[in-house]
Amino acid sequence: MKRLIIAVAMLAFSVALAVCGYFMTENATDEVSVAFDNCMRKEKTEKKNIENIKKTAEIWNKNKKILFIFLPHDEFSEIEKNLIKMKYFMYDFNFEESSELSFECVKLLKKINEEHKLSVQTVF
Amino acid sequence: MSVVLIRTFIIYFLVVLAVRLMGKRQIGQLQPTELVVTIILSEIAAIPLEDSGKPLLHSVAAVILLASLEIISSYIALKSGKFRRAVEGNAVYIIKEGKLDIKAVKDIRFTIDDIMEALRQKDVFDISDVEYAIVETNGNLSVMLKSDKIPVSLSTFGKKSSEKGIPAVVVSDGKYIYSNFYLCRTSKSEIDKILSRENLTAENVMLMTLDKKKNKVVIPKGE
Repeated sequence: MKRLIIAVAMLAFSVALAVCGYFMTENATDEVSVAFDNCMRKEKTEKKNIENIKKTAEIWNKNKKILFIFLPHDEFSEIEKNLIKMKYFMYDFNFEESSELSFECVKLLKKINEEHKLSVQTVF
Repeated sequence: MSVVLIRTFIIYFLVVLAVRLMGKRQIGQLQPTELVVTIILSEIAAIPLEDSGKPLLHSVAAVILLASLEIISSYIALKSGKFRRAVEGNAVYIIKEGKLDIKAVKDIRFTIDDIMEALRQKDVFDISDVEYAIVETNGNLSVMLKSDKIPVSLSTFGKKSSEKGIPAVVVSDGKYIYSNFYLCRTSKSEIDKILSRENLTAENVMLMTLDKKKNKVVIPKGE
């Protein structure tokens, strides 16, 4: 009986882990996507554009722990690379290139979100 | 994450079903559910070790789920005969009252060579000596010999033997094995006395065994 209780607790734990993981990763990708979205909008001054990227990097660093715990790590290397490139472009006052990379990141995050969403396609 | 768990659920039941369909020949020593868990566990456990890009939590959750499924299914099997038969199958009588049941043998896809091999492993070399032979759910063969072929023992003649207990290793490579002293109800001083009668000390002994009746075997070092 003791073992059965442990087994049921283990089952509940794994399901809870899955549910938590699902919602936490969804929230994290959404938050990062919104931040990248903001980077695509051109501000009045270059300083504000740079600030936007810095803020995005902060949001990314805050959420990446959760994402790395629950999702395959290689999926995020492209985003990290793009974020670094974006900073360089922005310091070069090249908003267009930076905005394009930001758009790429949003696309990647959406793709990751879709891939890990609970659906018939992802299960099978 | 939830995708991993659902996949684990599906694979677990799918492999159990596959193993049940494969029959007893492929099972060997394990029950079907145990075999399934063993196969999947070993694979799942290896994934995060092979690919560091994969989150550890995926495998951890899957292993937890598998272990809990195994315990829960064994508990249900304990309570429900129907479930037990569905998951583990039934023992099959291949020899009944001395007669080979060809249909049962065909059903479990055993060949005559398989049966003879399994009987030989049970020290039975003549199939006509067997009264009953049963293929158990884990694939092992249980054999009951005909009454006139059962080896004689003291009880056959209505005699009882005095219990001498298991010969316990009390000295190994010159060292006392204190944990075995209770098996032969002895003490260090008693062992020293026995050894001194043979002009030996424990340090000079490679192996010494002793039983409850104080029957001993002493092998000195360098012998």
